[in-house]
Amino acid sequence: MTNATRTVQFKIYRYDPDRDAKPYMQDISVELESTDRKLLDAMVKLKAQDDSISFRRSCREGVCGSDAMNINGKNGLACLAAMEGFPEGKPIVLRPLPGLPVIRDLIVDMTQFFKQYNSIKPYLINNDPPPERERLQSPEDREELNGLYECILCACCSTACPSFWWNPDKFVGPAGLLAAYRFIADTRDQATSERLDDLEDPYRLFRCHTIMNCVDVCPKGLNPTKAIGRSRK
Amino acid sequence: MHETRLTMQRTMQKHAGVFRFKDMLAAGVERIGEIEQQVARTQIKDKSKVFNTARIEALELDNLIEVAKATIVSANARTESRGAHVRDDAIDTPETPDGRNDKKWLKHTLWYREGSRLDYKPVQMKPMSVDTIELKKRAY
Ligand code: SF4
Ligand code: SF4
Ligand code: FES
Repeated sequence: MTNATRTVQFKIYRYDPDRDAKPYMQDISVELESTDRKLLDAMVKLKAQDDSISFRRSCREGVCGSDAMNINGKNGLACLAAMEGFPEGKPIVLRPLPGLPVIRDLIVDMTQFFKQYNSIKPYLINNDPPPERERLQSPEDREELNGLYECILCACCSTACPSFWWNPDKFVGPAGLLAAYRFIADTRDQATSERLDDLEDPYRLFRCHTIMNCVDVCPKGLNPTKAIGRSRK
Repeated sequence: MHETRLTMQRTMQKHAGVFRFKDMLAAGVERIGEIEQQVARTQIKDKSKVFNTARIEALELDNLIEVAKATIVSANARTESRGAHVRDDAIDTPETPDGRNDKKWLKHTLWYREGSRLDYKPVQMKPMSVDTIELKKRAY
């Protein structure tokens, strides 16, 4: 493979409350090599050029959920977005996740998102004394958790959900509801009916209008809408 | 800062990677010493007080260079192979299986930031709650 360089254009949402009266879009370009495979690689090079460009990142492999952002109008993780997937000759437009307060540039305040996640008690509730070893499940019961436990809490889904935009304080949102169903479906959890009662509310669960944006954007290929549907039954 | 960090990463990869070589390690100690001087002179342009990730990266680089130095100086000093530390010049003999020299090197390395020096401490061979595992050639 050659290591030819090419120039890629970007439009990046910039806002530093310390300096800017209001947000603006910055035009900037960067020289990339063929080894710069993902959008995050390009962004690290952008930051080498202008170290004030601010975003979160950590694992660079779709595991930590830090670098969720709005990429050409669609939420996703920069570290999983392949550079070759972007149309040539068009600037790549980067904005913060929609619907949450911007702290700076591409960094949003996730407080509301985590509050909702916290509200569904995202931990196993089982009042039996702990056994000598693990609490066991049959392979079939364990399989029920597939597609539920893999969530990395990146917030791509909830911040793509119109119902969450309008009622972030009352609607749990797809990430939280996926997590809620993860414990409802867990045979080791004893709080199933309390969990369902807690969601029995015109907002917490029933604000979901099955718009499916969440499914469309989840970088881990999860399906919050399906989990929401099952909780309603 | 980006360049300095990259140089440090590439130097560690080249000089203290998976398979280690005597001359490369020694040269790497020199290189990391030079890069440490560069780290001390790095500057950031971002002066914002809000979520300043440039400053975070600069602070991380201070820690990274210290860890790099501790790693490569310790590896250079430990003239045997042990676990993930595999040296080309540590030969396999009955007394030193796979290049592991328990007579000389069955000890922990300690790194002191003050004075950039190494020290060693003995390995606890009599654990309190489980049986001692006998030393033997690694067979897996
Ligand atoms: S399916 Fe429900 S949770 Fe998902 S985006 Fe639509 S309204 Fe939001
Ligand atoms: S469900 Fe998917 S999009 Fe939503 S937070 Fe979890 S990993 Fe991210
Ligand atoms: S950097 Fe961790 S998910 Fe992208």
